Amino acid sequence: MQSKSKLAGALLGAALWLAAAAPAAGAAGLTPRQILDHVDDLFRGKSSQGLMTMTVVTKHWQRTLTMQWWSKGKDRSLVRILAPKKEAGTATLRVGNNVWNYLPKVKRVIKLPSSMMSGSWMGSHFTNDDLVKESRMADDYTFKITFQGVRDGREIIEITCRPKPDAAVVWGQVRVVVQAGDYLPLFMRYFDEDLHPARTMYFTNVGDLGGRRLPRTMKMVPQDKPGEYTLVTYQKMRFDLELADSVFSLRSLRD
Amino acid sequence: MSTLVKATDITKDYGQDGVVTHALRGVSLSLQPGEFAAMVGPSGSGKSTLLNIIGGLDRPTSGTVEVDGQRLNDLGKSALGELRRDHIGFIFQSYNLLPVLTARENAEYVLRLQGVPAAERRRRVTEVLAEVGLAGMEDRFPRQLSGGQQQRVAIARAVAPEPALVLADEPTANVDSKTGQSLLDLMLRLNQDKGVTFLFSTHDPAVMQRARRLILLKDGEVAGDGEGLEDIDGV
Amino acid sequence: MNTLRVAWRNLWRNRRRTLVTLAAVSVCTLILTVIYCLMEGLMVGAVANTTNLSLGEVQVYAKGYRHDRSFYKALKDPGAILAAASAAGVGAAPRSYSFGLAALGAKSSGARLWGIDPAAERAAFDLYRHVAQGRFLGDRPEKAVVLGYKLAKSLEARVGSTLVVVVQAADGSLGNDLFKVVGILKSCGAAIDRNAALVHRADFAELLVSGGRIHEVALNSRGRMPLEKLRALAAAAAPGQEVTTWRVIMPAASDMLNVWDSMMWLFGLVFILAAALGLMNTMLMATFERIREFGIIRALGATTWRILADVTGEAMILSLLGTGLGALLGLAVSQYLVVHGLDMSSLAGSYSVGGLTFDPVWRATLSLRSFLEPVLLMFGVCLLASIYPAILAARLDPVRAINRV
Ligand SMILES: Nc1ncnc2c1ncn2[C@@H]1O[C@H](COP(=O)(O)OP(=O)(O)O)[C@@H](O)[C@H]1O
Ligand SMILES: [Mg+2]
Repeated sequence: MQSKSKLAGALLGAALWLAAAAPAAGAAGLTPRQILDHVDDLFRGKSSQGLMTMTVVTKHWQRTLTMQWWSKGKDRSLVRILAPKKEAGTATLRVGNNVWNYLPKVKRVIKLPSSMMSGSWMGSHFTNDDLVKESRMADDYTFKITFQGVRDGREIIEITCRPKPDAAVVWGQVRVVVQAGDYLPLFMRYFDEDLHPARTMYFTNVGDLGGRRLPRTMKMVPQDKPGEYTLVTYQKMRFDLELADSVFSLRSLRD
Repeated sequence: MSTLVKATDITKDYGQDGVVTHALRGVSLSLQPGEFAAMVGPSGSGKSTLLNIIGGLDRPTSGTVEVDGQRLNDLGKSALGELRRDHIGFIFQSYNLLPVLTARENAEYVLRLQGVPAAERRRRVTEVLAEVGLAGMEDRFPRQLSGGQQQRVAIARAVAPEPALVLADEPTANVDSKTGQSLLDLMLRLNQDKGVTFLFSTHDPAVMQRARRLILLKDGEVAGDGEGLEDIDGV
Repeated sequence: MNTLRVAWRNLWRNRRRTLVTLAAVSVCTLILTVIYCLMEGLMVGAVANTTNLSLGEVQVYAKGYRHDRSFYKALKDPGAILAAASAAGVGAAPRSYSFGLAALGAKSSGARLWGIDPAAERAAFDLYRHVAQGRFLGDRPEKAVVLGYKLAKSLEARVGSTLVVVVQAADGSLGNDLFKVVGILKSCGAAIDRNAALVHRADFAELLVSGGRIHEVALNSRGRMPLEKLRALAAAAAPGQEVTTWRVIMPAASDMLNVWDSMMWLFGLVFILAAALGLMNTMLMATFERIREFGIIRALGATTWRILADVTGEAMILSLLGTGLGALLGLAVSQYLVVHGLDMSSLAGSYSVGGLTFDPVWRATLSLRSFLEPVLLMFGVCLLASIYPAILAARLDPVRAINRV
């Protein structure tokens, strides 16, 4: 599950993590641990706020949601749907491992049971679990550089992570591929227990986000559903702003 | 008249555990239709064995038997059965009725086996039972009859199908002498009136006296063959 | 003086032995039929409890639906299946399924939504009678829900509670609505108890933007139609779609019934063999006692067939009387158990094994299978058992037989 935390961090931006300022990338010769931490910390801040669109494409339907989010510390976040109209106002609050949804149509807040944590979040190819995980890759996995050099015309570093025996993770292996030089992630591939690829998250569209140079688009592609994917694009992002604790309350979830 | 029974050089050995008993040692015998012949001889002389072979119940070790023109040696088991059913009547020493059948049912048993229709069977059996002196006792079971009466039923059963030959193995051995006499009277009368051919074994002197032909068997051999006791040496 | 009459007289020559044999065959037949009828009742009852509740004897799904339960794998022409069922006088209920989330206050739980046609359910199945509190769904959509009892418990829902139901709708949107709890089911088996939330199919279609997708048509003849015939009927009405039977859906239960069935035959065999051996012994003794008589009739020219017929004729009368008497008694006892049953409630209430539910009152079932088959088998095997003594009698050598006193 830890590997999902990476994903979740990426997905919701700094929403999910508290961290020191991103370490300066680009310094020559980061250790594998430093690279993993760097990837983990890309979107982290004391707090964050932003606007994103999420496009989900499945065999049966396709839709695009526009969402706004707030996060504080590493365990509190709030996401609210702005569009489409039918679902505007639908919101998800996460505090620690608890997740609540607000449904404007019925004006009710419901708490997600733990049995549903592995279910899809808002119909996307992310799970609810992806949202709530907090720990670092480097703590849950053993890792080593398995490739370094030019592949597909790009200079890359490939780090293969294997779960530690006692780590509570669902993946059999995670392969993190970053660009040499700035250590920005290119993709992360998740393998199941039998070491078959299960899903891949691609990072593209590097640019300025809240003063950081970050990949602004992430595409999650499940292996077992050809043609399906979820595309998240950050429109705006601010880091380290002042946010009252009351933002992350059930009351504020409702409006 | 053609010969009814023609037995030639009959031997019969019984062998068990390496000990061989020569029950018959080359017996030849002919019987014409209408004869009333008695086989005599001491116990163990081979009378029953010879009767069984002539009747197709047993096979000789060597020698040939012809009955009513059929060579018994050539017949299979079921053909022998048919021969017995259709050509030969049997009267055994005793207890030879079926206890669950009435006198009538016993008497008509062979007719039934022959497939004679019920009405015809009934007519003939009623007549034969009357002939053997059992009129009115048709529906009695053997246990309700005396020994002599039972043998009369057996005689009726033997003659009812009008066989070419009736074989009787010591038919009077189990009844008192007076009853034996009357049974003999009956068989003689059937022989005279109806021409039934009889071949029986006996060691009853009274019976021997009245037989028209006596055949003496001794140690499995014919020791004498004649019209009366006086014709036979060694009796 | 026909064969059977003579056989009859022969039988009663040893009255006591014949009576004991008759009694043995009768008692074995009695026990056999009663136990078969009871076991058949148990099995038929268990199957009926299982299939009549909601499962149905035969089910139709879109190809692959059973594999992944994909909401999008819907039946192509459920109307044709329903029409075929109704033409054959078989009950049938269309159902739509989706997983979702049910919440009440601070409680929430995953639920399996059943979009049902309450009128069809009532006509074909017994689920509507298994309501512990409140009532079943009405025939018209009313945003009402009936819950499995464990689901209700985990939500702390009561009749009158209002649930929020959240689903992933067919168009990808987050379908959600309020449903009023009108009923809570009794225990109906793990699958229903744990997560079933029954709603009207029209409410289901609206919530899920499902366009009326039907995932299952369950057919139930209540045992009136043989399983294979019903399956064939459904298959003909649903070309290219998957037709299953309860035996496929509940393989454990099906296997269990098959094992029971085999065990019953084994068990039956013991009784049949006991009776047959008893009868064979009697016939052997009767034959040995009458060796001399068989010799005489052989000498008189009776064929081996004649003797075989005589001996088997006697055995036939014995078997016929024995099994007939036993069957009559068995019929009476079984009929009593069909009507009154055995009250097992002091031992256990309604109990479940391997997915099958058994009634507290154990009733017998009288059928060709449960009654006539064991009786005929008993009769047949007894007859067979007389062949050995008959052959012995038929093979006797007449001379030796006569000389044996
Ligand atoms: N089945 C048999 N097995 C062995 N020996 C036999 C058998 N039947 C008869 N015998 C013997 O054959 C001989 C002739 O017997 P049998 O024909 O019965 O004499 P009879 O009738 O004149 O008294 C006797 O020595 C008898 O012991
Ligand atoms: Mg003798």
